[in-house]
Amino acid sequence: MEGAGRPELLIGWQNGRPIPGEKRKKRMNELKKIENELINKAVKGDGKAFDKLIRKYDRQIMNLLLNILKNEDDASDAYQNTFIKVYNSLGQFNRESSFYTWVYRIAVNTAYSFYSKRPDHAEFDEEIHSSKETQDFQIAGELELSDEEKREMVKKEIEKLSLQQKTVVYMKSFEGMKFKEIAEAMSLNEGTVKKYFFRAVENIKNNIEI
Amino acid sequence: MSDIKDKIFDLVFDEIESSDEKKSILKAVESDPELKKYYNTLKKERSLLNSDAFESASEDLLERNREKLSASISDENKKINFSEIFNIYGRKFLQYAAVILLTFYATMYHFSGSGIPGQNKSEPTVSELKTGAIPYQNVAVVSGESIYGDIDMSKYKVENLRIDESGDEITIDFNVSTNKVIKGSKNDPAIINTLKYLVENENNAGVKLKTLKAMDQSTDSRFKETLVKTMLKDADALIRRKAMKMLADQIKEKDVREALFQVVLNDKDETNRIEALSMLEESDAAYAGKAVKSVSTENSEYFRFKAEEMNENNEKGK
Repeated sequence: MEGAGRPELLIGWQNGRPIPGEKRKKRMNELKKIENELINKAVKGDGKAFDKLIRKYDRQIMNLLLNILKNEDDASDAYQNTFIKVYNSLGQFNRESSFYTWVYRIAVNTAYSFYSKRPDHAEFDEEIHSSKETQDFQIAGELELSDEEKREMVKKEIEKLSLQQKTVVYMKSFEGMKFKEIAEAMSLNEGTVKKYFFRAVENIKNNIEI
Repeated sequence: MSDIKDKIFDLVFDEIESSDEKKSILKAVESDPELKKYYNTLKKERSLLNSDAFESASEDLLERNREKLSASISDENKKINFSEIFNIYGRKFLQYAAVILLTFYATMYHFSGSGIPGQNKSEPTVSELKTGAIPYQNVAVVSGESIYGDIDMSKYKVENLRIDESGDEITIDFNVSTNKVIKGSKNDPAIINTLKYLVENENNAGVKLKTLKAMDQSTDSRFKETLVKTMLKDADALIRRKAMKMLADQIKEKDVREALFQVVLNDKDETNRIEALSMLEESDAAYAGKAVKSVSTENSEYFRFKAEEMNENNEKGK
């Protein structure tokens, strides 16, 4: 998919793979330094510095919003709200924690808030599984499927996950984040995040019978 | 999941960095057909969830939003902060206004030859004028009067100002706020009571979270009751969750465990129910089992899974 792929600047990752050991640590420190300088400038009202700062992560944030909200207009509004909130609260950001998980947390909360305001939104935490559709997929699963067909089925199954499961699956599988980072970004404990992911993967697997 | 299966799961989903650990897990996988099967299943699952399964923002969408954001940020910087202007200029004006008022009043008094101010109760005393405690109708315009109704504006910050004009009428709508400082040790009753009050009564979730964080740094047992109440009754799921996490250290206490049991049963937020169950499981598996039994019939995939898992474990136990 065009434009897809893991974030090049996501701390600790490169070319879709985690950067190993010492190299990773060094890279993290370098990025943290640059990031802190940009934050300092942005706090003082330097719009350009803020622009540079957010360009490191805004693609991931937009992807996250698109995958949660499934609508470009809502994702765009949520994007604007997220970064205005980030800008206005930069002074309160605790430098000891990770900037990008902090931004993620704001984005996740904004997306959930948009989601819950939709008139047709399903119960926030409900697991959404239609038995009919599941049956259809199970039948389809018994046939030989092309990669494209399989991908479409997985997409549809992801759609049916609960909001939290969907978020965890997205952050883990698309962004390559660690469970610990996801937990931080979602204000949950690591065990809960793992459980969400595990259950989500189980659901997807069971319904398409791999 | 058993410990080794946990590790296999972590390995497949890139949670393990140490190459030695990776090797030792793979060795275990190779030596046990059941583990190998599990490993292969996870690998298949992982391959399903590749990046193609997700939406990705187009360059055009991203650029449009970047431009819009850039304009919004520039507007944010230009926004006039009314309360700051009031603090700088308004207060200065009020200081001068008091002097002008006193001078004006003294002049009037000198030329009118009337008695001592304050003797006539329809007029204010000098001290009343100094503090601006009573509006003096005759010189209200000259003084730049700071009192409206019963609010002494000079003591407050003006926020969220909105001015609407309609014909001859003008409506000035604003909030006022003032600063209070309460200082004391972490065990000071004034500090404890203020924190408790804020968590229990404040409407703003951000303020509540900040207050809970302050409570988190204290070990005072007087917070327990407030935390339990917040965990059970707060309208905001995130606040309830934060209070719940803060009770983790006191999970051995009966009332805390019973409250967590209630969360598992009744909280409207599934995440909170799962968190509460995880906490109970870590402290008292049997008690957690009882909780799961009570909720297993509800429409939650997760709790159904937990109930099944527990039944399987019981069967194995037999």
